[in-house]
Amino acid sequence: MEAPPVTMMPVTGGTINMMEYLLQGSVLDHSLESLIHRLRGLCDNMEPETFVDHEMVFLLKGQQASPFVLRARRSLDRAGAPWHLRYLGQPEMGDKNRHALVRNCVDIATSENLTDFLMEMGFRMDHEFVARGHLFRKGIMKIVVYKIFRILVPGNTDNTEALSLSYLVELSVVAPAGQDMVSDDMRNFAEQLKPLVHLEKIDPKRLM
Amino acid sequence: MGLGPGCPGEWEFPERRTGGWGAGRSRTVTSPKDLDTPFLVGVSTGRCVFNVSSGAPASIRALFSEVVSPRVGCWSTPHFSCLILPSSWPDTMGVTCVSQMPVAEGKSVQQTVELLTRKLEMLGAEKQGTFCVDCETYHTAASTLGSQGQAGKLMYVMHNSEYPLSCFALFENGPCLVADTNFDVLMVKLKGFFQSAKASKIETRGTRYQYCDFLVKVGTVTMGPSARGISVEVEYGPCVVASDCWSLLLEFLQSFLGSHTPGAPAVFGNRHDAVYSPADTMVQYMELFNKIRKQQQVIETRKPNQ
Repeated sequence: MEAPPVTMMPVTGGTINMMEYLLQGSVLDHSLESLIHRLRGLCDNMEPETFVDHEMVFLLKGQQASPFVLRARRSLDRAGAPWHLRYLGQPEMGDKNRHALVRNCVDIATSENLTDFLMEMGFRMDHEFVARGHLFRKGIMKIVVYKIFRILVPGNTDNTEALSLSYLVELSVVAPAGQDMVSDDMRNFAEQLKPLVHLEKIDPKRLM
Repeated sequence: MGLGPGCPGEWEFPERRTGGWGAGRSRTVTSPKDLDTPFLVGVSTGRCVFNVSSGAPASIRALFSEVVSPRVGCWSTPHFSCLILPSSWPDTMGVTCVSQMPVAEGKSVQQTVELLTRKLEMLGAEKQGTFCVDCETYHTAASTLGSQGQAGKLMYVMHNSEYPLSCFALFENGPCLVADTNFDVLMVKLKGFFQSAKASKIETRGTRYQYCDFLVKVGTVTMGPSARGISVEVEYGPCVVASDCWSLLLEFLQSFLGSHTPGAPAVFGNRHDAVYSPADTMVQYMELFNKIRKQQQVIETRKPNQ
């Protein structure tokens, strides 16, 4: 059972509800360079940052209709970095004028025995993949351009194959609940990336 | 030392132990009382970087020996510049023994705690603030059990004031997860699957004493409003390998606990050469809390027979 929707409530039980605002799009492989070039110009000045992450999605099935989903992510190229556990709630429906997809999110840094611990809790791994790409920042906005790789042998992250001939582009912000002006800023930034990539609010339910 | 806040400086620390994960630690002054927050690691390739928080004067050397993380692989003599980054990452701590002090005959819990602390003060230990370790118990909700086909397990979620930005989650005889405090928020989301056992919150609160390289914490264990026992935690800072310093720890424990000195904790048992970590301390506290919970149940079941 999911917790009650955390719509406009900034604080629940003493903790701040953080929401993730998300816009997604994609580019074909051959357009990657021009996109990276534009992003380097628009975003904060920093060393180009690439990443290789291994993400595993865990499900806990109860008697409720929908299982509880947790995402565990670890870095394959940065030794010693903590594992990242993420909970994403259901997308907030409602305001059609809101430009970005909004969902409750809880981010937790953990030690390396996360998968063992989740199994002990009763979670089972549903699927896993490797994400390889570039990271940019503009203020509180994070822009990630990455390719998803399918893992052929479970647990073996060296043996992978690309899922498609394109890169996924995500523009996201994690901010306290109730700050909808964030989605306006995101839309303005997304405008600047047209026509290289069209970032839009994609409802995951419509795809299933 | 005379270092001002944020002033860079460099120190050399000799290797104390090579091989294994290769970190060397050497302890000099031991009074990190100037910093409120626990510190740790900004690390990059053999150089540990720490940021001095404003107002911390000369007792900075104390912090270095606390902070070198074996995982970094500081093979050669580490050089430190004076920047300590407060971090929630409890990666390493000195070997620690957590035990229970029985309440003295004819005395209350508080009086026994006072006896102990007076003994410590006479030894020459310095009071250094307070500490708190708490523990909540969760069990798998009945609705989840059916599909898993296994007996409900108990999960303990603990906090330690020594690491205020961290949360420890563990199963008995199972893995101990070290996470940041957002884990508590996640447990709220998991309410449907994991329920908090009624009135299960148990905690120990008390004073910290520093005596040379030993950090002693004497606390009163309480469940709700009632005091149930006394916990004694002793940490020997300079050493991270249990088998290397257990005899020294034992001697020190005997000097103020006398006949109530405990045996070697179970966590030391299997992994003689493994590096000690804060998760091991939390396992010891969990065992102590469980023992105290059972003791109370025994007392309560005896009463009707009297």
